[in-house]
Amino acid sequence: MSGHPLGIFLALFFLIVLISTLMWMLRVPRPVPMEVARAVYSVEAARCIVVPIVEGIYSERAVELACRLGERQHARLVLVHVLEVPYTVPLDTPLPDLEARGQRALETARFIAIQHGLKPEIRLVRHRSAPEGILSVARQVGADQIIMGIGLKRRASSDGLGRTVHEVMRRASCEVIVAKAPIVE
Amino acid sequence: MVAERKIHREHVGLRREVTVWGSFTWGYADVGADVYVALGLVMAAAQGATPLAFLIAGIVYIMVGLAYTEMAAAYPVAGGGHYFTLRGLGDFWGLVAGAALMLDYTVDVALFAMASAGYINFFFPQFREFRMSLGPFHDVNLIWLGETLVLILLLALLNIKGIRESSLFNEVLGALDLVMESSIIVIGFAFAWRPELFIHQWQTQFPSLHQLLYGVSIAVISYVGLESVSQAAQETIRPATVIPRTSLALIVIVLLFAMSFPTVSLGILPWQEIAAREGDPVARLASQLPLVGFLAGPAAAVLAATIVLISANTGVMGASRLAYSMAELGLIGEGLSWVHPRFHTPVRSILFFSGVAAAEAVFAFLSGRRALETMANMYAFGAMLAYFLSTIALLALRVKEPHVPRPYRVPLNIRWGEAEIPVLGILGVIGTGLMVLVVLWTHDIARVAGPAWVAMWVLYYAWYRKRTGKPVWGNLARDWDAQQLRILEETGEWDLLERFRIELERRRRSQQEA
Repeated sequence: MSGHPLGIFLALFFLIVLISTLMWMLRVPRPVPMEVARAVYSVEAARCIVVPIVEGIYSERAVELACRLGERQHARLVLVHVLEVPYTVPLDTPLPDLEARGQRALETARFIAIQHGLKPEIRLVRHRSAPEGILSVARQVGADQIIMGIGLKRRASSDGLGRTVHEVMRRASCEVIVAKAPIVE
Repeated sequence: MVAERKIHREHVGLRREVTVWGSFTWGYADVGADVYVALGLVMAAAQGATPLAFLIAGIVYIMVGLAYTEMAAAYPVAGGGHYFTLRGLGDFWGLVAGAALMLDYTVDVALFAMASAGYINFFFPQFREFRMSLGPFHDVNLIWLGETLVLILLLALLNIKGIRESSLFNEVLGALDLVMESSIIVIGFAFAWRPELFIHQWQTQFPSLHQLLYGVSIAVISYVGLESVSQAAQETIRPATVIPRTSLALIVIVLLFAMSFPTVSLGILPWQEIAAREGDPVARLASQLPLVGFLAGPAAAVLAATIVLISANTGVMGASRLAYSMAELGLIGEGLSWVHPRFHTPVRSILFFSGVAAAEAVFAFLSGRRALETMANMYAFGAMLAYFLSTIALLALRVKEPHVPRPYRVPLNIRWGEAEIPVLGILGVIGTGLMVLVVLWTHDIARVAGPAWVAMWVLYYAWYRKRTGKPVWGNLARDWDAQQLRILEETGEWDLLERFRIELERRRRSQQEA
């Protein structure tokens, strides 16, 4: 009553496929409570993230954070450097040194985003006021989040936040995340 | 009074009681029984190439199955293919798909209640052989007919009492059948299977193209279970999580059984011996097994009687839920969608469609020996037409409702604007469309009776819509997004609900900006 080796193989194959499929099916993931779902998807809801860029590790770290927050949902990432032009000169006055520094900062930030598989948009914006420049870009692109990186050593008001951060937090219609890191540049 | 009734209807819905195993067995019960009936019929047509016939039908089934998995998880409401078609293609086509499925479910109830009674009569040969003349009808087995009608009545009462009871019934018998069918296949392959016999039959007994296609068109009836899973979606606990798992598991397991039974059969017996026993091919196969062969007859009879009975039960459940859904969506009269306040089940539709199934059973017994084949023909027609429309609906819904969260997506997609079009969905439309043509070409009864059944429903639909002042060719105004929100709230699928809210908000903002 010995079976053919191919028949025995087919019998075993049948059993393995059947049992493994049933086991996979019966392992149903635990239900997600409503509060948890709301919290998770409020973060995942960010499909467009704006990151203001200045030279320095704080901005770069903010880009890294933005990439991690936006990676899962393939968020649109907009990196913006605002070139603050004094009121004493026309808005289109050539400022080659500042422009070059801004461009370098944006290129560094772009490099970080590309490491995460994202394709960031970079914008070098001329404006009289940095917070106003950031906010106008956020409005244009329909930002869900603005992520700003600041450090301890920056010029700060009494609560440790700068003027730009204050203004953006006060006037932005979307979520604003401020990453204040105790890192020495 | 009308307002009171409306409020009552809004507050009495279907209960969510079906578990992951229950959801699986709703589908498996249907499909497992189909193999018992289909194996002999397919082998009579496809002969040595029977596994090929099951494989071709299985490929179409995989594509349909994936489409159903995506839509049933995204839209977990009673109705299945007809609901998807209505949502994707509009009211009229929803009615056509519903009519096709209704044909399937009522045939399912009649055919499998009859088969179950037949297997019970294995133990009472005098009942099985009983014949009498009834006016112009000869060779009528009134005892068998009586048993069939009693079984249909019992199943109707079980379903009226509630889904918990009938789901438990399915779960226990489904598990028992899974073990027994697996045992036949494993023992058959391990101890009795001869590859040289299988190859010999493949090489020397290959059928003609027409025979093979006829076999394929019968083999498709083995794959009707996924519709049942969709029908039970509104009563399934956490459907968006559970249904993708049970549907994908069903695709794998059903294909496994559908390929294994003919393969093991052709390695043990000549195809003629299986084909000659169209009524109990699995019993014939089991009797040839070593170790368990002496028990094969009674065991196979008990096994078949139970599994075909739960398939009939699935039919009662499916027809009543389908009617509930069609009435809720304004395709047929609302009387059928009334849910009993105590049992929480659509009592009227259960009784009505059980009555239709009983009438079909009477007709089948009066029509003589071709009864089984006639029913199989009708079954194949209904299934393929509904699947064809459902796969088109998958594509339409991807375009119309790209923002609806889909816990499962059919793989291999091409981006087209905002939507992603599934390549397997396109192949599914082609495959099921060809299968409809094959059924119409190879089945002389389905070619006439199938379209006639659908035409009857279309006429009723036109009359009903006109009488109630609803558009016959147009669609009723429906807020699908609000309905989707309500469905997700009711099911407790909070992550999908949040995702959907976010998508709606995004769409609202982009529309405002535009």
